[in-house]
Amino acid sequence: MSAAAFVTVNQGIGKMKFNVKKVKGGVDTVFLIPAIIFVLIAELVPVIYTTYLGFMQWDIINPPKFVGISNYIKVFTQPELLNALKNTLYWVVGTLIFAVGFALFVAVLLSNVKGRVIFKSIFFIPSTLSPTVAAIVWRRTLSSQMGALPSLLALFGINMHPVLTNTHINTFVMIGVWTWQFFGINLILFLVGLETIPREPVEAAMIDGANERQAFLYIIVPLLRPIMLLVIANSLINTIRMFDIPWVMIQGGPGRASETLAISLYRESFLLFKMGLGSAIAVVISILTLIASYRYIMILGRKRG
Amino acid sequence: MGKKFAYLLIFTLSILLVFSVAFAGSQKGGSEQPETKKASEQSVEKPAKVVEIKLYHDNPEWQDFWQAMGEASAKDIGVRAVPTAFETQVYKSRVKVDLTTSRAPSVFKWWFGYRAYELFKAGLLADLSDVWADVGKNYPPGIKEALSINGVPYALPFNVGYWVWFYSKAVYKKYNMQLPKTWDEFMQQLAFFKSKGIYGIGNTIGKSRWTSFIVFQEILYRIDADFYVRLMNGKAHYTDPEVVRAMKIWKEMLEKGYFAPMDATYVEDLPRMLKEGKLAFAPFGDWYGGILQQQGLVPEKDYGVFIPPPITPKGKGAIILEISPLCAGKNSPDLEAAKKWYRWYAEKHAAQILWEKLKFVNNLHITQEQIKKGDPTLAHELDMMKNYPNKLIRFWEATPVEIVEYAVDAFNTMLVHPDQYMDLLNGIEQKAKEVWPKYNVKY
Amino acid sequence: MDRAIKKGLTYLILVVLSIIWVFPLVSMLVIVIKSPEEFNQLHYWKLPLIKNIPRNLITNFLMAWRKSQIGKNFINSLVYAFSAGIGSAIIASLAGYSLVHLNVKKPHVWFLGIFIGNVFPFQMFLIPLYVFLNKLGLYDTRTGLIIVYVGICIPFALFVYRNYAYTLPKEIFDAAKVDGASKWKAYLRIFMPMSKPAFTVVFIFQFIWTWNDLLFGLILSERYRPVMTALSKLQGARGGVPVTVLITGALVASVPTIILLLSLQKSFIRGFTLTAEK
Repeated sequence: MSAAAFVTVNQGIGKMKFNVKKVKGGVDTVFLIPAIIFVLIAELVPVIYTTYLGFMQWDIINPPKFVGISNYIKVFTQPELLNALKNTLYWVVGTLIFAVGFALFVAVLLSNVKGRVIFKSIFFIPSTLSPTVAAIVWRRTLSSQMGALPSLLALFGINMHPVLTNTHINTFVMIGVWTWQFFGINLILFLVGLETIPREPVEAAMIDGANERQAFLYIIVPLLRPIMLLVIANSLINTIRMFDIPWVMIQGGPGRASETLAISLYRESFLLFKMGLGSAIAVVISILTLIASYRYIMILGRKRG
Repeated sequence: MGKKFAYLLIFTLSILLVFSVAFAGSQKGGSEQPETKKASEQSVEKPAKVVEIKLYHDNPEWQDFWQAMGEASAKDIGVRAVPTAFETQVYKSRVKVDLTTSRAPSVFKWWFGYRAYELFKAGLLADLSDVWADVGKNYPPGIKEALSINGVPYALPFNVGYWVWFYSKAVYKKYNMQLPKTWDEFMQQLAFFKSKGIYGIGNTIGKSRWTSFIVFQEILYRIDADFYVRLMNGKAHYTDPEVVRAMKIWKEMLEKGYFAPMDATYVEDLPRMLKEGKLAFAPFGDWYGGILQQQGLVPEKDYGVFIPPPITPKGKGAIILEISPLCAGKNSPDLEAAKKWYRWYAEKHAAQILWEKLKFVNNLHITQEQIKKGDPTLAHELDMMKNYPNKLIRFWEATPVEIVEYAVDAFNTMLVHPDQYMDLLNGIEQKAKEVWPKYNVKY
Repeated sequence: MDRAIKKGLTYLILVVLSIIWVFPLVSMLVIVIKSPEEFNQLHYWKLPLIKNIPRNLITNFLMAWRKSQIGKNFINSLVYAFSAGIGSAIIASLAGYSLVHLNVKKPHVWFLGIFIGNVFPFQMFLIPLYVFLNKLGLYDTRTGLIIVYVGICIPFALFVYRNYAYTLPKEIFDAAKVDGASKWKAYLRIFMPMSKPAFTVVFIFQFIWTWNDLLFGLILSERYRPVMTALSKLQGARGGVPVTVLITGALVASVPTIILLLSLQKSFIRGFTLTAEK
């Protein structure tokens, strides 16, 4: 806000004539009420309820029954759910390597290249699509029946097998789709971070005989820390609860092969009607997210002013 | 002044919010359906008005059909079934939630066999004995029994269909071939198609997980139909030699490359492949003919139906039957109107609409000539059914839901990793051991 | 010499990546300029006659918009996304203002109490919301989804507003108090106009999030579903929609976010870095 506007506002207030009246601090809490009501309805009460359901067995049509921690035991013993846990881990690690690590690499490449704006725009375009649209687009591109890529390869006599129903690689293909989509945002964030790094320490280090790799590791990376923390935390939070892409592309299949925890939750509760087990999975997802983003949240939530 | 106004506003907003939630909650069927409510209220005061009842189904493409039915019944008997189409993925949970409340639908499409059993056991389905007493004569024998549990009929049939193999006329014309007469000949032909670069069997999981059980079911009951029934009822095991044999046959077919690529879809890709002669067979319920026609295929010109020969003599004369029932929620407030609607549904006018719009034949009002004229392939199929007196229930609803859901996932894995067949069978057997005691069956 | 190779390699990597990035988008364009019949008959990469292209585009669009009801769901999504963006911003601005510039006791505790909602993954709310909305008769209503979307957007919105409120000097509000303006007036006349940048950030983020949401739409709605859920249904087993129409629908559904992001990219990136600032 400009200074001029600021003065105008101040004058406007000056013209108002009201009696100064002290209002007790407690009453100011009224301003918080709408926010509290909404958050209670949409989030806090559901969190408590889900935690409660995690200890129950409930199939919707019969009343819930207390079963202790057996749902949690299932999460860590039932083979399908262990598989989902493993896939979720793949997602977390895979996106860290490709959507984050590789984005940093390309950002460094881009930072001393002409035509940066064009490349930046190209990489950013997919970020403007939703994950659902990205999944639909890539499903079409990869489909063995009239898909863009297999049709193109067929022109060169290369026969491409279906990739989404191949249980060995489909999770990694979908991690690739996610990378395609969110690479651009991470890249731009890194570029923003790189631009704010002063040139002098890097140059000084180079004069002192450090090579590029050392300069990168010991000077640039530490200076990028705040942005890195942001990008990594975002990546972790989003991939631990990964749902959209594997769901739209292959419904976590074939069978339950590419299920993530979020898809298991959906399937156990809304297709197999094990609401209790689904809730237990939700609690596990929450705990994993909390662990992964603990530092980030502490920084966000800390007192300012 | 300003301050008071502010607090007043915030309070009003909050209270409005709470009230809107409460108000909407008190309205049955949600705040977005005021018309429905009004109509049925008025009907209490003036019986001449049309009564509206709720109808749930899970196929958006049938919405037009149900609307046409609603108009017709409103005109004929003053009861309009107002349809709501839900997505398959959430349909079951939605219906289950509503059935336990007074928002229960008066008419809803469901599955028969074990899938109806769980609702019946929980006391959520209305007894339709009195309706059947009036309209039973309109249906072929056996239907009422198939839709009854412990002698209580809980539904009227929506679609009654058989499971057959659709085949591509283009393929058979091109090579001037006859449909196979024995199982071995069938396999030879599949090998021949493979050598010509034609996919033999279109049974894929591109967008549909459920379709994975089809070939398993088709092979198993052709080995031994009685065994199939025993297996479905918990009197045989998934590790028995019959099942292992079925899996081995299936495995061989998969490994020899007789199947279309697994990411093909059965709604768009398979019809196109059948039409273009790139695919020979697609096993489905006869309702698949409707999908083929929708995709521009012409019965008897582009496709026909074929019933593969049995593998052993024990598989002779058997065929898979699928009935989709229409059930009534016991907690529905409009049960009387619903029964009136059901009586209308079993009569000629409704049967005609069902035939014209969806090509479904479920009662005796549709004549042979009509079928022959409207869908010669279906007429041919129904004609062939004389040779298949042993009607078996489809796997999807023939055995407890928990086993089906688990097995369907295992069969998905089978389609992409046929070498794991024995592990998969052991897994299903384990599940069956776990589930059957809940149904009081010693396994 | 060495440097030249390095440079060449850099460009090679960038160009190859760019091709991979653009490839699916180009292949989508090839689909939407064909009619369903042309798509089935022609080779994928064979283009239709140029004079047919405008007609095909229009028919595909109309089929997606009307027949596949993308239009109806598009409007639903607009309602949800605007409500969530504006609603959460207003509610959070009230809260942010009171936490920083009024005498709320223990503002830190209040903030964390609300912000904690942002910490849980959305799956945590799913089952209870499904049960609650069903019990209240708000399942599959616009009201129900709006309440959910606004509620879920509030914690992040509050976070942005609170941070922003700290950057506004307390003296202005003290001065206003001395001048006799009520707290409400100070909120309306000073805080609201001054926090426009916060509003922009909150609005973009929450609009996009709500617009892109698949999960809540999938579970909490049927007839009043948002556009992404409708798209995923078209793509599903019972879809039966020609590919050209599906892809056209997908592109149409992306228009609002594309416009918003391309025109307000700076604010969007700023919204991100806001959370990384010390």
